[in-house]
Amino acid sequence: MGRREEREQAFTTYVAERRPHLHRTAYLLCGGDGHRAEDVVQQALAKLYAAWPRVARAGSIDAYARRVLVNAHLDEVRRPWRRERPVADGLDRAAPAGPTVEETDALWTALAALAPGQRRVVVLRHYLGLSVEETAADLGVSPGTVKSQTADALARLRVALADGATR
Amino acid sequence: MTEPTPDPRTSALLEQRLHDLAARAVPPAVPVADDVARGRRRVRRRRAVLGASALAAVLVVGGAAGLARSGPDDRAVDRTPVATSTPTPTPTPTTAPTTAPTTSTAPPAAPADPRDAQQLLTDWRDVVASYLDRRDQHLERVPSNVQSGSGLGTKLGWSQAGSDGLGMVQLFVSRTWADQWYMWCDSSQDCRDLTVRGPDGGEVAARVMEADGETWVGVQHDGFVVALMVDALFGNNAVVPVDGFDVSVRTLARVAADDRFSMPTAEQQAGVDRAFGWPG
Repeated sequence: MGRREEREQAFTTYVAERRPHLHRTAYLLCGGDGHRAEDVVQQALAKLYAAWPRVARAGSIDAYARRVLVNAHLDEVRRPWRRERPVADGLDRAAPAGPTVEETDALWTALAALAPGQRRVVVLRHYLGLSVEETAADLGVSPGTVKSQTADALARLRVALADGATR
Repeated sequence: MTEPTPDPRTSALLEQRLHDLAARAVPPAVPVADDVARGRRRVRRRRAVLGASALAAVLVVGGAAGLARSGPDDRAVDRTPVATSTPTPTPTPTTAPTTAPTTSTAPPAAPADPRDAQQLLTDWRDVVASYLDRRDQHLERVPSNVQSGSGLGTKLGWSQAGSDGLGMVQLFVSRTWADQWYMWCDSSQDCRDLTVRGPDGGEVAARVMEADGETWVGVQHDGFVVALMVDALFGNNAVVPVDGFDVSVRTLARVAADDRFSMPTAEQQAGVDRAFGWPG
């Protein structure tokens, strides 16, 4: 098997396994817009493919994939014709399991109201479970910024979370 | 200043709710092959950008040299080519071809050649056509673009009657293998050697590099290297691959070994901008 075939086989295996996880992360980053999440995932995977030999050698595929995903989201929100707007309709909803639709909508609305950068901090810290330092490294900001952004975001989300918890 | 500490219960609840929300996402059923194809296209685009950057640098340097040589009033009449040293920003290859013939560090000066760059590329195009398109039905007849920098080359469209697609034959001539940055080999590429019969009947060693759906074949001449690539999809100009475009690496090697190719002279390289109407 040639080197290119080896590379593509390894990439294919990785994508088959991790694409759903990347999509879910992008889905949160995009405030519940499944179409934009897919755009972000496709951009990220194209970058990952191009960098695959170097990234695979370094053994940092997941970390690299996460970073290019976040950067792809950053690029996405910078496009003037694709400015974010709060998402109230058109969410990809599956059969409810857990929170009610009302609770879900309240949290989506609160998440969508966050600045994109603040939402990235929330997703990296509280969905992917990264530490303050890891989040800071991924986003290219200081740990202090991550802490303050996290605290501010939680304060903004607290009402939506409380509404959900008391229903 | 002390950062406020988030309430642990709020953090835990948020984590749980984010996972609930994410679990509701329905990832589309996208074939992995589509992701691979997009990745290949990105690699191609990246290479094209690298080439364009090198070309832009040459144009800037060549233009500056031309302006320094002649004032605005004599530019129209002074057509003497500028013999620049073509200080190309050649990146260091990660791995140079290991089995390529060695090249002299002091290459012989190219003989005088009255052809300008456009004519030279057209003649090279005719060489390619004499192997791949003898009936002159597929290969773009007049080169419409140029790759310069560490050498000189062009991309020629390849069309097929009845097909909406557009393929490509790319040609690049450089002084050394290291200047053939298209052919640099690293772990993502499949590189090998090949022997074919040359124009004088003797054996000619060729080097083959396959990666990202592209196949490059290069041959060492006396003081320069000729490399060719064919691709059923002209990546920058088309989104549909051309039908029935299948050229073997042995055929490509025979084209690359043709003795009608030559190393462009400094005058020809410096004349690239004029030939293509770019600002000098």
